[in-house]
Amino acid sequence: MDADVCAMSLATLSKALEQRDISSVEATRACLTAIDEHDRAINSFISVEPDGALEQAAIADEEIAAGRWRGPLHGVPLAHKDMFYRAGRISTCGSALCRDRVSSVTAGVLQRIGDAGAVYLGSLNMSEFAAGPTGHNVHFGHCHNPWNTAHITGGSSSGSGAAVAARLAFGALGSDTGGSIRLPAAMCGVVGLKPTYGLVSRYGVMPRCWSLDVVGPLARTVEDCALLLQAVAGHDARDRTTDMAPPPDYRGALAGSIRGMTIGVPTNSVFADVDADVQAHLDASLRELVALGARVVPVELPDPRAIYTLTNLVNKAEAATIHAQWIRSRFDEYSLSAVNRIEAGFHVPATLYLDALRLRAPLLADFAARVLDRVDAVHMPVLGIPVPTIDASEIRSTEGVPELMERITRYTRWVNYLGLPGLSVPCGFTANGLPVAYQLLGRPFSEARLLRIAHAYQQATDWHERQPDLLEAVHDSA
Amino acid sequence: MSIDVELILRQAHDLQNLQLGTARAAELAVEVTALVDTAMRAARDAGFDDEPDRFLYLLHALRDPPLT
Repeated sequence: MDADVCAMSLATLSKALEQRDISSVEATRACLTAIDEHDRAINSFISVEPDGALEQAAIADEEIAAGRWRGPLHGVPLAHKDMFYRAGRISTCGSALCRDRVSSVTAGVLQRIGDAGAVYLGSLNMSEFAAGPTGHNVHFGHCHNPWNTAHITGGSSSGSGAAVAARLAFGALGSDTGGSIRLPAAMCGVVGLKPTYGLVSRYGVMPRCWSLDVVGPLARTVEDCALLLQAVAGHDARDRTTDMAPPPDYRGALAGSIRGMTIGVPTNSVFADVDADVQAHLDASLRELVALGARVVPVELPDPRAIYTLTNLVNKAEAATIHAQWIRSRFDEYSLSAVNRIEAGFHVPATLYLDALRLRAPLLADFAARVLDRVDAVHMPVLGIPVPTIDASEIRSTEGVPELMERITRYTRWVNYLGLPGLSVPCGFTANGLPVAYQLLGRPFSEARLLRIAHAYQQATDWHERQPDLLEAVHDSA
Repeated sequence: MSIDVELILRQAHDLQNLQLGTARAAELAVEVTALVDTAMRAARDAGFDDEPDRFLYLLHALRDPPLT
């Protein structure tokens, strides 16, 4: 029974809750049992809150029984990256520095999710201060991939990817500064959406790099992602970068056809060295989209490598600024991995940082004119190599790790510089049994369009329905 | 506003202790400066508009039209 409940998609559970075929308490208990049984293998949770979760679930059941159904998230058990503040509670941000730090405010997105009636199961593992694309964390333990625990989950929203893939929660929020939603979604075989810069409030969210940070959902299906996005998207007066326009109906947008839509496929040389096994799955996903009526056209992107470098300037300089005081006063409490990423920002001259920011507008305009004005979406990899092992990407253990980090973030990091939405969609498994995903990029605020394309794909394929066998995963890692 | 000399000295000391060697940082700075200079030249040739908040303005101006 518990496993059957946990196997449902968020949308299926939501309908069952509304119709009172299942109670929120039953669903929450099923998740808590699954966490108890399986999380020791993957370490996706930093903290679990069984009493609070069951209390929230009981309230949701009472409200639904009284005819006060709040909407699709009412009574749905969720868990979120441990960097969304809750007043009076600890948010560790994956760091020893914040292990006991109590927040004074509640994140705008958590308020909205709470107002929608969702249940808070607990807080999820993440790379220290969201700095790192692999899911390593020396303070709270590395997060392990549910498909094979010897492999990384991707980061920095490592627990969000792993917990959703392992069916321990029905969805999760993560953050993305250079791939931190899309990479764990891709490596764990779930859907992850990096929204347009400014679509979702960052009020009360740990800053990693304020010019690039966005908050977004990870879920098992595109439809589930649409439901989560609907709950959190839209203006928040406490985050002045948020969009004033009311968000569209994301779930409603899924129903339309993609016939006649144009999918751009990059021809740049930076896409030429994608692993053959990964490429075969990307090609197959494109063929599926064509079979659904989409038209594929080649596009030459403005040099992603140059934009990647500019992204790094902004990322490093802002991260160093955010952490400057703690790096001076509490240097020893940072891991080598985190401090290596942050400290480089102290060497970025203000003039370069400002030029990198000034170039954002002309480069976005160029990207729009050369690419986005011609296609509905760009189809490209999230990760161009099979998911690496934890050992191979351990920053202390292996030469060549900086090169590996660049390979991991090659197709995600620069997207944040342009502020564009990116959707990671599972599309198969490589020979090592780990997931592969494609990425759809679109115009600013084109989330509804990207979700429609990916939903059509999921209606024709079943990659998103596959589940990792956690007992087997434990065995593999032994 | 007074200048906090002690803070500046402490920060300079901390910078010397950072993992990234200053020689490598200097190399990177040269490479990156060249890249940014090239990008700025190209942007100016294309009619670079240095209006503050231009990026956010553009992001909204380029908004995807509603789906049908």
